Amino acid sequence: MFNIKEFEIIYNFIKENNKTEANQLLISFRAKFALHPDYLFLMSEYLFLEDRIYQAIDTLHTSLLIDYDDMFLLKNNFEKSNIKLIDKKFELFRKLFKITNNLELLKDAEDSNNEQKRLFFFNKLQELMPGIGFNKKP
Amino acid sequence: MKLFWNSQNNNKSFWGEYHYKNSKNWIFDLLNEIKFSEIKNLNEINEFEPLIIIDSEVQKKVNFYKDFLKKCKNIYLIHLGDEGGKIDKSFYLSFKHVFRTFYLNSFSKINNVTSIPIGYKTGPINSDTEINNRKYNWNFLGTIHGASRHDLIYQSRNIEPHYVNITKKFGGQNSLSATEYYKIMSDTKFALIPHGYYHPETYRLYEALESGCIPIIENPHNFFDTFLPKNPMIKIKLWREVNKIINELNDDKTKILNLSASIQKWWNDHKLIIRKKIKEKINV
Repeated sequence: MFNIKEFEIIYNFIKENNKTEANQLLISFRAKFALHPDYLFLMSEYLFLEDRIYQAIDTLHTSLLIDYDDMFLLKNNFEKSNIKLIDKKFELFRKLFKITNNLELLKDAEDSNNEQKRLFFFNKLQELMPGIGFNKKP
Repeated sequence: MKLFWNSQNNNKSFWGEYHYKNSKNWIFDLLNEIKFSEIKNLNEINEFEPLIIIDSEVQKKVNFYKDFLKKCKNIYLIHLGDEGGKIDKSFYLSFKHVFRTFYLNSFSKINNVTSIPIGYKTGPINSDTEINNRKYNWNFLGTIHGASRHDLIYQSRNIEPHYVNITKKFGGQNSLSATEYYKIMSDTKFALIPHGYYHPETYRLYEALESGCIPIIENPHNFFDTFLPKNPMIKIKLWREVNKIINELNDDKTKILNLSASIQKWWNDHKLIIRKKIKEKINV
């Protein structure tokens, strides 16, 4: 599911609710991959585990932002998240908006079952939460 | 004791000008128990005379301080801004004491550093209107960065009447003037206070307190329980909690009045504690 092998290990720790191991590995990969779209997904999953819901949404939003920024991906020699992982990202969005009880974005996330609808959802997030961005310097 | 405001000098920037224009009342409020005279020129002090210097973005003024600290030895710094904790900690060692805004753990163990709240912007503040007689149930005046602020508006949108003014950036084009801003604040029961850009503190919190609003604050890692001890403000984790809180308090006029009074008492007492702390450090 991940473009970087070791990320699978982090994902498994998160799924096992092993926060300590997951956090240690996330820290060890931060310097190199802080803005990698797969890494940001893992960070978002970790923040969700830590009950930091709004930060988890912002981080997942940033992960999508990078998925849609071909130039940034190219410059950093990163790959866009694969389709299976993008499915997981939308699954996480659904969980997060269910917790915040944001029924409008929950419905949009639920409806995002093809590429076009996902792009529409992403553009809507960009419009509603315009402060989400990242430093593009590699 | 002399005082010199330097935020607007040596580095023209938005924040330098902002603090010069907007942070004076707050800082002078905190220095209430210190006798000082404000000077406009640093040549007006001699080498060992005590001076309070108020500044922001000091990391961009290293050369100025290098020269200045050679000439003057008895300097207290009030360091405004620095939300991200960018300053090199060794910079503070040359000062008698430093009072810095934006509490960060990494500065809490430095002996000559005391953290102070970021405070409120200067303006015609009025807190006289009794809480039950205020026009707006809630307000939000500011920028929408990310999920929390969007959710704040979304979850509270049906609680009427309310006042929302969204700006594209801090102090941007459609920001209200200080007069308009405080007019709304002083006519609002509940001020919804989300997390700042990086840091949990926002000016909005202190502006709401000064205006007699009841702040409902996002409280990540219980930050406000530590930084503002014993505060009776309403703290939430998710903005979905707000509807119930506001409706229940609006249904009980005595409860809301008591809560408002307890918050105002706590805030006034807390300011006294900060003033006392500052007086103890600037022991002249």
